[in-house]
Amino acid sequence: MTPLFALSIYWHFPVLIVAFSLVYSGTHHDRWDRILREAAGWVVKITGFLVAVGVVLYGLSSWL
Amino acid sequence: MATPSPTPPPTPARRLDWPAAALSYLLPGLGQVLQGRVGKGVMFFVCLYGLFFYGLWMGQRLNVWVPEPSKLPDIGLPLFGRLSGTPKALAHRPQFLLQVGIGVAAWPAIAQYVAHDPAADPAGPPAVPFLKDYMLAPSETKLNDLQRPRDTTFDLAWVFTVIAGALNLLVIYDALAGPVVPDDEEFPARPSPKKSGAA
Repeated sequence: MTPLFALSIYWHFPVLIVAFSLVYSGTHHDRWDRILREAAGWVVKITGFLVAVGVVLYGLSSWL
Repeated sequence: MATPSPTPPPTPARRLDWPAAALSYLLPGLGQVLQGRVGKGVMFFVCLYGLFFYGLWMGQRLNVWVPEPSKLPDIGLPLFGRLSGTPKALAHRPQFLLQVGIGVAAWPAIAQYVAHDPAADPAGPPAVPFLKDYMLAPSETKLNDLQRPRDTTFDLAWVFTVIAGALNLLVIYDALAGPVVPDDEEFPARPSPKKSGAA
């Protein structure tokens, strides 16, 4: 079975997550402190969601 | 008995900056730069062009294009009936509707679509000489070859370009009307206009 992070597709996600978080937050605020704080929050939320989905799917594929 | 709470003052209307919005469509962040928000404009440009061209690179530069409608099967939509021409091409390739949101960077696909002659020899000279086959609709054989391997990077790649185009719509709105959540310190309420009836 393929290890969870052996597939190269996952290594492209940081580019998407960082760009999305910065741009989305940048359209909500004009002050850099607020932009960066909201962007950091989005990075954590999106990464957490993707990791959770990945772990669940990996578990299902491993034990079912 | 509870006293009624005072009504909040009306939010001042935002001034819409249409030229800046148009510039931000052409080049992400350009409208913000001309508004004096240079850092934010540069950040938008770097992030969105980075995301768009990263997706283009992931997809071996074969994921931003408009297909030739004459080679496609018929397609119909409710209320619109059977489609033909450009609507038919876009119905077969709806991704492009968001990809084109990135602005000038996606225009080579439009140029290729407009200049392409379906009757021309595929081995002949390119329809747009300086573009060659850049953003030209690939052959079905080539697309099948790209999607045959187990690696799904090619399928993920066009999603990156679509997200970049969709995010630029938010950037255009930011150039048009300012940030979604105005920062009070930077957008003070405009003084209320004098009442015309006041002496």
